[in-house]
Amino acid sequence: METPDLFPKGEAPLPRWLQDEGPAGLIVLGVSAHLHRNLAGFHFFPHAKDAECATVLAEIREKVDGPEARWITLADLAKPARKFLQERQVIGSWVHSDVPSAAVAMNEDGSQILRVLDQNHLQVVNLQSGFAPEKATAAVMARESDLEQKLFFAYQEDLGYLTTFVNSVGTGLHLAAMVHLPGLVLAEEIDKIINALQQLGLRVRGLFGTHQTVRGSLFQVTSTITLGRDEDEITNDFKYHLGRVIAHEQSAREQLHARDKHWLEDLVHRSYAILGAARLITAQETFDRLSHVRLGVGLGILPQHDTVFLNRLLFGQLTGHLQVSCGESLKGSSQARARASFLRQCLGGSGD
Amino acid sequence: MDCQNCGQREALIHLTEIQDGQVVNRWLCSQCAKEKQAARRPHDDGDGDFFGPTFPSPAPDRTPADSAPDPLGEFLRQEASQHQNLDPQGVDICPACGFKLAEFFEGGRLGCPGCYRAFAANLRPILSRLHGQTIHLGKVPRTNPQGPNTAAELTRARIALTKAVAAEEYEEAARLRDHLKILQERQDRDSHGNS
Repeated sequence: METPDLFPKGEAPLPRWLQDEGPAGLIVLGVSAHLHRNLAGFHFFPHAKDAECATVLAEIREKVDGPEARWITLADLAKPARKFLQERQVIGSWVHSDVPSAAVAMNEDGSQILRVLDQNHLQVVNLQSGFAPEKATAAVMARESDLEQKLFFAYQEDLGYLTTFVNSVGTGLHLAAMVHLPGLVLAEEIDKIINALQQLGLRVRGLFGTHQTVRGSLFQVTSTITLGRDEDEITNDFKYHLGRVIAHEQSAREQLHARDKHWLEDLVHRSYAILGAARLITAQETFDRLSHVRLGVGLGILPQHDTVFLNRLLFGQLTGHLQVSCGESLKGSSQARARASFLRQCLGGSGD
Repeated sequence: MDCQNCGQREALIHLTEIQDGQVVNRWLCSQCAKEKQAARRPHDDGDGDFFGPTFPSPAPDRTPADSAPDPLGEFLRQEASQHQNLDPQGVDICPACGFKLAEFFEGGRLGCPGCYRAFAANLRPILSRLHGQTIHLGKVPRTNPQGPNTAAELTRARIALTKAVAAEEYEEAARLRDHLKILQERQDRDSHGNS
């Protein structure tokens, strides 16, 4: 059954990690740590049959006694609700409704999550505002320490924790950061940065979008190495490399503002005005406009707003959020109308 | 600014794509951007998918219609083509779960924890290329039924020793050398005990 207050009609409050700016919050929306584990004695998912998956879920649900009290069976969710939870990082894009036992449990504020049967039997996820990877790692490691007293995880002396895919074996720990890099994109330096990150074992892709498309200069940077380094080293390396990207982005923004002040201010104000006035607006244009506005807020061009307000705009206009808010599936122009209406309401215009 | 595709209408959309690791930036008018989107993804509903931080493609039997191309899959396919002659010592089917090594090369996933031992000879070079290492140095289960992880401790101590020597911290290096000696003796004793 769906938990009723999880998908309220009207604008849903943001999860806590999107309600704080956090360290370097003008550039980093948030970070997440993902710890992958499998129960010993079972086939890996999805090689396991449905009955075995059900046993794995029952075993985990029975033993888990923690803050993640809110259990959601994914097969019970309608498509908009699933998309809404994907947009909030509660469920991964990998899980599908045809896996009857796939489930997630989350705490009250949506920052601590257990994903069951998403690639591996169990994925412990923690989300933090801004750029605080060490907090996210500490949280998932502490949670796993509790869980290992009740659950017996597949482990091999030389290879560490065993995972379905070989790219998570060892620590099973991946870190991901959601970063906004409009300065590097506009300065056309982003390709150099992405190439450098890839050579350092970090993967870069668009945060929203399909395949290789990047929307609104929002990127997701993920650590890929899990074997041969301990959890602290993985976290410190991630923090160090991303820290350099943040510094480059900050410098690119300042240079852009100093060099093309009028052009940039026009871009920011024009986008702000369009978001507040449009009657029909596509997701693609909204991502771009919001990116300009976010850049403007970061540079003090729009001093009346902060990043928390921008998070509200960014997430509230996503398709899953709009559909849950309206209580119906939206396509084409009805979606563009609902998006424009939501944006106008937030920006003080008329929502009609 | 004019659209960089048609050169006629005003550019409204800043399109960024990552193609084969290269970033392509273009300013397009809304019509050209729309056409470009439609050509790539006929079922794209606008804001696309929200991708989690995981890389591999799902298993073939549970593949979403719109799954992204995955670098791990490509990497493994390349590996498979280079490993036509699989290690004659290695097995090609897991005795614990019946999972085939060929399936691993197709999708990058394994069938059960036992696959890691069954396919160890073939997995080692792949793990080395993926992670740069083949030994776990992270957290050990609180109650490890396999006893202390001597191999990992040895590797960790060797790395620490190299760092200490490079930093000219000779007291620390001497301590680590003694520690290594103890660990080595423990490993020799364990392997002797197991044989």
